[in-house]
Amino acid sequence: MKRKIITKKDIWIFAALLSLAVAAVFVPQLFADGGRRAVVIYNGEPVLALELDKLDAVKTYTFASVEVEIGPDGARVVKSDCKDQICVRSGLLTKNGDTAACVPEKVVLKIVSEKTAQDVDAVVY
Amino acid sequence: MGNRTKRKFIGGTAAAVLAAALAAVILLDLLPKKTEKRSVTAVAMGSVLRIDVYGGADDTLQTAQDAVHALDGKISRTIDTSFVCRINENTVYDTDREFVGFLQTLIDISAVTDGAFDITVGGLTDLWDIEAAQPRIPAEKEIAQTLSAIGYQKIQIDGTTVSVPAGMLLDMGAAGKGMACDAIKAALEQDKTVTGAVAASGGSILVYGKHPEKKSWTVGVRDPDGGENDLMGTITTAACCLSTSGNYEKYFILNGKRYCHILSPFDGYPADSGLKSVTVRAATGMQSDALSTACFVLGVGKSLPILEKFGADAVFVTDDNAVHVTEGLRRDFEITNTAYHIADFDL
Repeated sequence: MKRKIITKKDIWIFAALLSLAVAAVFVPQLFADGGRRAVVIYNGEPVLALELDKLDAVKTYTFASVEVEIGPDGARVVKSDCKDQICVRSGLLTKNGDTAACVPEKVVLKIVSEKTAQDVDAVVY
Repeated sequence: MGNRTKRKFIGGTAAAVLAAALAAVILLDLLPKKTEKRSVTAVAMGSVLRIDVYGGADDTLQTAQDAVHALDGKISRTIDTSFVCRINENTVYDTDREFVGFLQTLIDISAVTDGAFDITVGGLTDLWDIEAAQPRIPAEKEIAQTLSAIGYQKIQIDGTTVSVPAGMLLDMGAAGKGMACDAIKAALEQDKTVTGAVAASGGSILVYGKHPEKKSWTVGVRDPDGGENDLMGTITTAACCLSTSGNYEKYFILNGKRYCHILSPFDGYPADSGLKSVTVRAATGMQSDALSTACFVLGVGKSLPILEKFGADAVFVTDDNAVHVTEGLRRDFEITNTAYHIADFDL
């Protein structure tokens, strides 16, 4: 009888190991840094970073005259003494890259996440 | 299990483990490598400056940021000691070679655009003061008087000394954020270990080098009718500079009419060429920024030969949501918002 070099059992083991190898490579990527964070930059320095998914209530923070609300659904600038109020009009920031900037007060509020539906490197405007 | 079967099983398993390990190694190699990323967000040139650098030395990010502040220190209209302010105040001022280089290139762009982009519009910008708490429409007489002081041809350069006629006010704002992208690029080029970078000076974008995931860079184009974070399309591109001029950025509405901040040096009124926005892709930030302003003033038809002269491309969004895309961008541009539709150039 001719001897088989690779048996059915070997193929099953190979398949299982290959699946494990593939899973080991891809699964961590699926879950890597998926959490959205609200980041506040004041005077060019990051001064606050909160993971939205870990918040259970809306919290309010103040930087210069800029009042910022951060909660599980997103973050927004609710008040600023600036003239144009562009930062306040930016509304609720929810997605990766969403930004509200108060240039006169040097405050930037931003949502940061590695995962995004609209995966762009930058936005031209 | 007999000895022979055991040996066969062990041999087969070893082969399978080796094959699986090999497969994993190949897969890992195919996957994008994580290059170290350094980022900074700051306020510069009157807007938000964001720089993401992949690879590079520890101090490269700071060098790039410093380059923008140094540029701002020369061309700003709000920093009293800048060359622009000094020239505007004294009509004659001894600058430096770099500034004169900028000025000459901007004058060249002004000439190619027949003055649709003109760096001497400072008086007009001040007259309209679009960002004022209570903006107003200036009287025709005021506009006529201000227009008489405009004209890039009247700037005189002698070595590093720049002189302008009394009453003329230089304003490089329409190219400044693009120039910041160029300053960042120049700083990054000094560090050969930088593999790629994305920088945003306000809405002007620099994409530099290779994408860390070995793919093209993707830049979103803002929806002129949407919020600050809404897109109307995307551009996939290799290294380049991109700028947009739009009627949504700074404006005021009076009696139902929108008056935007992009002023026509031809008639002295906010540009009204049937466009909501125009996005330009060019080799330098100065070009992309200045040309986007010129194209917004000129409208689609008159812009095409100018873009061609610079080897630049553009996405025009008209008032009726038609999107005109120049040849070089047709493959790279994609509409992501159903409110807009691609149109051809049969105008």
